[in-house]
Amino acid sequence: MTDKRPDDLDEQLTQWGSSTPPRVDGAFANRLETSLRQEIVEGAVGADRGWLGVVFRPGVVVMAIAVLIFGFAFISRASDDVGVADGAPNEPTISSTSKEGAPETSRSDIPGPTVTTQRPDEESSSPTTGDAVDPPETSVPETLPITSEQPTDQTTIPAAETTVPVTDSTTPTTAAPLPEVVATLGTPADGQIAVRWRVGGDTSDVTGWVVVRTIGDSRQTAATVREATARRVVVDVVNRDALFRVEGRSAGGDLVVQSDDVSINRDE
Amino acid sequence: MSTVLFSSGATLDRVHASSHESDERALVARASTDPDAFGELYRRYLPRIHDFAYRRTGSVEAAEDICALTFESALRSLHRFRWGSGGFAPWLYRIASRQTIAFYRREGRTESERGQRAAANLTSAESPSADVGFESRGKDLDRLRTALDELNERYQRAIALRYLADLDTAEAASAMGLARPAFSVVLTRALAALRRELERMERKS
Repeated sequence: MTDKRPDDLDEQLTQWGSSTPPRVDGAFANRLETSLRQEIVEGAVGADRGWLGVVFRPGVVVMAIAVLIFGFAFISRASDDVGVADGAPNEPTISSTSKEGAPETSRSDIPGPTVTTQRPDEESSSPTTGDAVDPPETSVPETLPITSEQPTDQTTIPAAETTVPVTDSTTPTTAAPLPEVVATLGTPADGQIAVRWRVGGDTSDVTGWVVVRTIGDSRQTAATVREATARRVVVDVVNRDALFRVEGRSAGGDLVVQSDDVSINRDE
Repeated sequence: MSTVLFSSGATLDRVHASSHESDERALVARASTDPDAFGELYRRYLPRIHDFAYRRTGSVEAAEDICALTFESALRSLHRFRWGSGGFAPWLYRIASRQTIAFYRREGRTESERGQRAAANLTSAESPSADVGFESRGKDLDRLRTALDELNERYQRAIALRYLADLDTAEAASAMGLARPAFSVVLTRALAALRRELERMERKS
């Protein structure tokens, strides 16, 4: 290949481009279309609020207020300690004398506030240029921990689809929209399930980890993770009667979103 | 009447193209609020985006993921789309090409052993319905894919949009956000870089 002339490379690329890939899986196409249509109906479109939306989104406002409060407290306490009226504000001043006569100094090394940061909404901050605007790539950690054990048995699961409402958000530190897990079960006939999940149509609000965990008898391993992203996790199904749940975790490992228990055996 | 008005094939083509464009404009204008309009666009472009993503990645699952991300992103950004010279297709392909790059970037960040295994599973998972002829040229394609992956993102996008998407040069340029002459320059450099990378791989092997 490499000793070929430029035209040969052009020819190879042209052949590559003219090849016929496999047809789109109809079930996949229908599921995706349903999901997208649902987003339009629910009004999730337009949640992309631009840079103003980023600045004024609830999480950012909460964080800014927290920084202001801590900052004000810090300055206020530092001012009290150093005795502002007495002169140089940055030098320790003697504020009292101990019983032993040794002077005590108050210090201004007060620990700073702990600030939790929030990942900015990259989709919302994409600039508008010219006639075509596309969103920037999200940089979401994609490799996820796998908690299930190796399968011991393989069972083909018939196709089914279900939407799993999220019931619990254990870290309500931000006013992000409620996450929703959309589980699509038994996609192909080879015992796989694919779980899609989202947060108000934009998974960038929750980053980090997706864990598929079997529930109930620990010996009944239901699934092993085959591939996982922040938006989707694909697992190999083993035991058809087991339950599983999907957990979204922040980059720090905190549980952010958790689905209801879902039965893998959804062929009813 | 129509035979008098449309006496030449070229005129007919122009009329059809114009009709198609106005139809698509109307769909795009309604798509962010009208599920049926978006559905029409989706069904029109899903196979094209899927083919593009599959050619680039060689994986059905990766292609499906890229399709999902592309249409989700398009839906969220549709209200900011302004019809330009390229129309809707280059805009959509631009999103798809960025999502493809992001896919490779994410894959490259896979660090844990189990994650590596998951990524290996992902890339090796081929659909049984895959075009046998397509994959029988596997070695050459793998080398091209590997070499392409090593180029910078701009060059990757230029080559992918020009050769792997069903866009003409003007549309590919529009998808890159470039004028046609500038796109030609980028493409020429990208091909030269690809050739060098193939030579480097050849020496290494």
